[in-house]
Amino acid sequence: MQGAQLHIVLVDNGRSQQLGRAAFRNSLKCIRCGACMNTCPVYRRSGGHSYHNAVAGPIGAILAPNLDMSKYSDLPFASTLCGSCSNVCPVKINIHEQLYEWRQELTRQGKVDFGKKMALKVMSSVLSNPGVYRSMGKMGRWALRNIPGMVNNSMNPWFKQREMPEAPQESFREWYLKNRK
Amino acid sequence: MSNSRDQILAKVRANQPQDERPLPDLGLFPARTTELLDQFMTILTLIGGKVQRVSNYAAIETHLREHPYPGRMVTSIPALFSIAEPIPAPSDPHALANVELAIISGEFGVAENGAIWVTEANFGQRVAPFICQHLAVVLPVDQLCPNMHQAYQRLQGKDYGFGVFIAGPSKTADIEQSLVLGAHGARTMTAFLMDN
Repeated sequence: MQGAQLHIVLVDNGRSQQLGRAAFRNSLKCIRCGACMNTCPVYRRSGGHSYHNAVAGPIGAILAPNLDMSKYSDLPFASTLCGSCSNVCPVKINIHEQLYEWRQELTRQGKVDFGKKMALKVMSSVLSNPGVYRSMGKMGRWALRNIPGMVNNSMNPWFKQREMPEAPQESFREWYLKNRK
Repeated sequence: MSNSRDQILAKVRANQPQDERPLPDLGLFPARTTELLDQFMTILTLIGGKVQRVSNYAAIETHLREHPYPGRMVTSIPALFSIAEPIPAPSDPHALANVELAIISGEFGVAENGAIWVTEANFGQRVAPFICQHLAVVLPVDQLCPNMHQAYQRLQGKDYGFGVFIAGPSKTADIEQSLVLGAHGARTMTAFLMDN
């Protein structure tokens, strides 16, 4: 309209800082469409509040650590890295790659707690060693059947809100070795 | 560094990407068909609009008398003041609350998606094409361009306060994919394609 005024309010909210992070700069393209949330298998189960941040979902897990690495250090780890978010993103943000980048960055910055660090180290050595993986699997199945109290207790956070699964007699590998012709 | 604006802008300047490459030159996307009028009419009909070929403003008036709209009609086109009242000066947009039909002029149409470019200058009051129950746009038949790439090139350097592409009636299907016409704007849209 003739003679009218237009005012533009700049809201930084960490954007200028994220611009300086080469690995995460791409996240500034976000248009907040919510496609990554609708497709995310984690978000669809857990809902928005579990992200304890204004922007939830996969994109929120990238934006939040930029604002406060200590407070939001858990978010990039709450992902299966399945890549569904990157696949649907209309502005083609590499969301799952940035989640993986954030995990490394947070670990480098010492923002990951000791328990998680140790658990990941153990997991890494088990998963990279097939012999150990198989015998641990066998022990786990045996324990679930014979001394369920060892895992079905309050020390195990997975037991808190759910029943532990029934342990099968054999693993898929054992079944396959027996049945392949 | 006196105010937050300077601080933000300085930070943005300092954090500029170092590895930016220049944007590629994509050139203009060529038209898919030379039959622009056919394509425009087909697409606009497909997306829920109506198309009327007319030879002059008198033909529009005749058409509207034969197919009358039951209610208030307004227009920004002086040649149609005989059938519709002028859109009032931009003071109170609520004055248009009960408009049944608004007739405005269009600048040019886009064949690939049936959109018509209109600016504030075409309808005087910003709310006019959206508040009305039914919308009619008068478009010279030779003002058609093939696609949006060429449409935006055509808009380069133009001076307008508010402009918008209108393609057919208002449509929304965001609730359970159920299509609703006219939830946010006009329920029907008619393009009067006028010969020169």
